[in-house]
Amino acid sequence: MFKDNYKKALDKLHPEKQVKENIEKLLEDDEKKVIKVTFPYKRIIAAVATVALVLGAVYFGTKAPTTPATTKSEISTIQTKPKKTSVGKGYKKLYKALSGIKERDNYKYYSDLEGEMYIMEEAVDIADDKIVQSGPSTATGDSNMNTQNDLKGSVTLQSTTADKGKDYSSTNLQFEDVDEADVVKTDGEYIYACKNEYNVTAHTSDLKIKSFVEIYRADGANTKKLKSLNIENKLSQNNSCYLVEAYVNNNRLIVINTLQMGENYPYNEATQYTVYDTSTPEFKLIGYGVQEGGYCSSRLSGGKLYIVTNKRTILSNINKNDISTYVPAFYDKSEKRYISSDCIIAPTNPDSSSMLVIGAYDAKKATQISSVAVLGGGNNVYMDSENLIVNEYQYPFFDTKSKVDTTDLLLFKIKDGKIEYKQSGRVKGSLLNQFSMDVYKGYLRVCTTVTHKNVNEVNKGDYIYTYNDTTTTNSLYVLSVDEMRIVGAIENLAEDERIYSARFTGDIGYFVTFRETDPLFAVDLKNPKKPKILSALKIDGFSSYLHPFGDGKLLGFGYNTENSITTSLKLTMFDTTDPKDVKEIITKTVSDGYAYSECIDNHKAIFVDVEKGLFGFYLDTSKDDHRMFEYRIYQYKKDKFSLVAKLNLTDTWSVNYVRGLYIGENFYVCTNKYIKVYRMSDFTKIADITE
Amino acid sequence: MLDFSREEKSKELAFTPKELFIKYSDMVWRLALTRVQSKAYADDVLQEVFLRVVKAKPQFKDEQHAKAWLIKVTLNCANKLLSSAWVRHFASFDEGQMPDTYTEIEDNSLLLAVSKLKPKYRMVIHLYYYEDLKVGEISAMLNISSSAVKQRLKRAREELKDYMTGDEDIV
Repeated sequence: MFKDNYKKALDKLHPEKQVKENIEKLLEDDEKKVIKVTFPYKRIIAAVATVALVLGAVYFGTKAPTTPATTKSEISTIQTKPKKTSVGKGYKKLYKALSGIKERDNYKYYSDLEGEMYIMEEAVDIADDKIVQSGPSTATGDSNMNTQNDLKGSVTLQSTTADKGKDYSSTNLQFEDVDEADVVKTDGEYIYACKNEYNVTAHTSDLKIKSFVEIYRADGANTKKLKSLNIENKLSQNNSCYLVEAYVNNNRLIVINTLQMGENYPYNEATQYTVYDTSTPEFKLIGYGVQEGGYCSSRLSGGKLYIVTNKRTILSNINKNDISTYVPAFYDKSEKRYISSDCIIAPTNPDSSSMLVIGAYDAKKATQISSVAVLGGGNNVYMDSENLIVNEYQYPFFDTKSKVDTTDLLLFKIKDGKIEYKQSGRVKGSLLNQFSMDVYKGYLRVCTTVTHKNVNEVNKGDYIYTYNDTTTTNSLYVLSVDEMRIVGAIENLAEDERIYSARFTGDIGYFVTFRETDPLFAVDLKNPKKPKILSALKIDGFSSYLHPFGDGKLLGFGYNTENSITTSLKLTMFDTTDPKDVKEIITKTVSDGYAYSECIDNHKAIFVDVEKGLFGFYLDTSKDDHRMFEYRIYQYKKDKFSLVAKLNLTDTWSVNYVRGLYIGENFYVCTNKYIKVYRMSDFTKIADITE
Repeated sequence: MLDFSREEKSKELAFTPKELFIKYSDMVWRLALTRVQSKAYADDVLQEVFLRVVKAKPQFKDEQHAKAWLIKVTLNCANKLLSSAWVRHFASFDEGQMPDTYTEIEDNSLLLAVSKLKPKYRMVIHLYYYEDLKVGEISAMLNISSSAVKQRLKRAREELKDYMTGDEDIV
């Protein structure tokens, strides 16, 4: 009988004993201890409706305020200046710091390729005041900071550049003058699309990934694939080389890859950059370099490439006489070189054993300019033309005394490829992404979601167990960049919500949180020390990405919600001309049912051209079990959204990303598999290039 | 005198997460495996399901309720995993293209045949024949109509006709 046969066959399969034991242990531990588990596939699927908080009029006086110490009483709840501990430089100090953690190492750390799992064994005794903060007191030359920042502003409009006689679009960036890497890049003449190839049926252990950059000559209907550039793992040909992102700048194609190092699991990771000359027809290799550590983020500014990586240190392996066990290294043309002793910053009482490594490279010549390594990890990277801020999230759950989570903000100053570590500051809560931070007129504004830990006891009759329950609130902090000290704050906003998107545009800051009820706050930040809420307005759904859309307009991408469940993708235009009275101009629902678009998570996936009033994104939705995959272009005109084009895409299962861009009169939809070319005037397809 | 407290207690069947795990981990894992077709992903789903148990602290009326809750959550977690950017970007395998999940057992032809079915047919077959659920229960669980369940069962049986011995109870 089919039923019996099927049951018999399937009953032979079991989960691995080890897997079961691990999970059982987790469940056991939960009854008395704390668990924090992160999954790789944890994606934002929103559950509840929204609140949008619009922080209006962050207007700072032209005069730079003097010492903000007098405001202590107003923000007494915030730890304004942590106790100073000495910070050392050099290998010896680094070893001392690491062995300090090793001794204190009373929690187990598990990590694998697919995610991270921390299990608390015993309480880690780190009181708030023990945590190390300050950097070397080299705060010189900051006095001209404010005036320089005035020039910058922080509104980014999609830049269009008239290079090589043609108008073309660039990646959607946070700042116009700081380029961010993406999977598709164009210089008006060529389109570069990144691609990975791997054996889909192989196990993770013997999976070898090869990476390519597909180069297309962009010429409307005559668009042709020119070359497929194979990017190799320069350190070891047999190991994987996974393509992450690329830049195009000044006749140079810069490709950034993650490398697998060594033969055995768990692999060490390194980040490789490779520079090619795009002015030569054969795309000559100029040079390459490798920086140890898993790729965190990178930026390109003023012809200098900055790469941020996280290098993991295996504490059980560290050996005082063998610096390779704990000092991060670089490879210039396969030659291994350890980071110089004076570029290492090691607090004497650090929180984590991983190292944040930042390397600055000349993008034209592919040579290293400077480097710095700080003991501590990095999550989000913010960079404008002179500040690089990396934030490190501190898990509150390890620390029994701490009731909230915190984030350390490490400030680096950047000038012509020279990186200098300045100091760090600390705020409560966690940051969503790079848009949660902004430096303006000498002040760093940060919006965070604060997780509060509540310990509950439950009497189950036979036994009592305690578990940790968390609630969240949201905060906005203003820090002076000179001292990285909090000067003003709004705290305890929007209880039980989480920040979904944030954007600071010069004088005005916005952030969206979500809840079942959904007020829209306007907050006056005229005085950085005393921010206050101006007004509140209700909107439906939430936006998970905000983009400034010309004067006094803000475009939001997000979801509609119904009974706390996300239903369909929507576009919203806000009128922000009067921060006291922020209005919703129009909302358009773009999908019938639930839909996914990468623009929800990744700002680079959106094509926006404010001048033309156009924006585009791809939409992955299904209808009656039929998957629909299309690129949509909308126009915003006269307070209305209109659908300009609905471009059907094919080969849905093998497409990893979709990017839209235009060059001259033509619009290109690029994926890792193909490029489709459309005429901008009426969006008729004029070419279809498949590999 | 009646002991009300005891009665009150038996109403809320207090399974600890661990008890649930011991009882249902294999069931959850096999259901997840049928859906995601990879042992590693099935492990992920198993862990995620029981973390949800810890997080949601559901109170079950009886074992049937617990089982139904777990099946529903497993299906949700598996679907979430499959639709995640991670799977789509890093390990996407086409529908019908099987990883060697079933190679280790000898007589795997039946499992391979089931695994080659479209997901919607596969899940109905699994729930109906392995979990012994009724058509009505499956329809509630998958949020489709009873006739759709019957339709899918019929089509799946047609595809699996080599393995059907003819004595199945046809609905």
